Amino acid sequence: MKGKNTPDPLQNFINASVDDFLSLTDAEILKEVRDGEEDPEELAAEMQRLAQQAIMEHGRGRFARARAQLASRKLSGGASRLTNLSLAEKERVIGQFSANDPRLRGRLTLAARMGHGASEQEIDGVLEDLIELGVIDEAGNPQ
Amino acid sequence: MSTAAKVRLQRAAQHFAAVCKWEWRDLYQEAVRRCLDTRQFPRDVDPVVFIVNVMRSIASAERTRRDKRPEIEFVDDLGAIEVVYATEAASNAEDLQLEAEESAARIKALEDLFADDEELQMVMMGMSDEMTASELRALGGWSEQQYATIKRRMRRRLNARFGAGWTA
Repeated sequence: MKGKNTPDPLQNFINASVDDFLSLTDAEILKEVRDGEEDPEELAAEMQRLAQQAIMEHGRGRFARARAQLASRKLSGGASRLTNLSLAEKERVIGQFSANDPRLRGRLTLAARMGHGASEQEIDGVLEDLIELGVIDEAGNPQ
Repeated sequence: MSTAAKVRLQRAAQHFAAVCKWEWRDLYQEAVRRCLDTRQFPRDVDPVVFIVNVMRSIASAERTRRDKRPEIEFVDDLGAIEVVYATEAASNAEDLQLEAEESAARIKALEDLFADDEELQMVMMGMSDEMTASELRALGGWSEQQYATIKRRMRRRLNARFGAGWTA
């Protein structure tokens, strides 16, 4: 069994070999690859292809997760948890963002001009937008 | 990213794949996906070094996971990569024995590879024992240039033997 303090010769050897290879200059690396009758450009092209494939898969996964979250939010009534908070609590959540967001501040100011302050309905709308953008979760915590 | 940088990543993936017994392409792609998941990609760290360290941590975690040891480890102060091992009961003695035998077989394969070259044997044993380059040079009485030549010979042999994958 290997632990943090247990000698692991294979892992030690691999770590040292990788560090050794990383310490070479670009020219040394390319020369060694060519000397081994490999084509560096071919290797690089394969790495590029593998990375692009991984990025695409990651993007698909992220999209699927976001879509599932959105569907679940719609099913559970969206920002219902937040809309159940007191007005003061809602203003506190929004206050965390409005100080650094001129557009959000402008939106709230406009609402204020039309009445005595941003209406609760307006605040609920802003909270829903923040959730949809993934800025906060449904409990109002920054994400 | 330059051609040399991509070659560095490819070689690192090949090496670390030997530790975790994954196919090197799978290891590299998993590292790319984890990098994309990392929200705080350090701007002052070379992306190659970062991805290499992600591969290193995956390989290390996978190797530990195979032992099914409950552990939480924080790997790499460069990229703040956190690896949390699944908390599982210790595996049975048979699994551990098998794992130990596989590791021993890989070390044996390395020893066989360098069997006709005493300098390579010495360097390999020193690297496996976490000796530094200067300690190794002192051990063999080699100059920096001589040591670099030995390492080059070692890399050439390793690549010729294990370039397509590390099988013991």
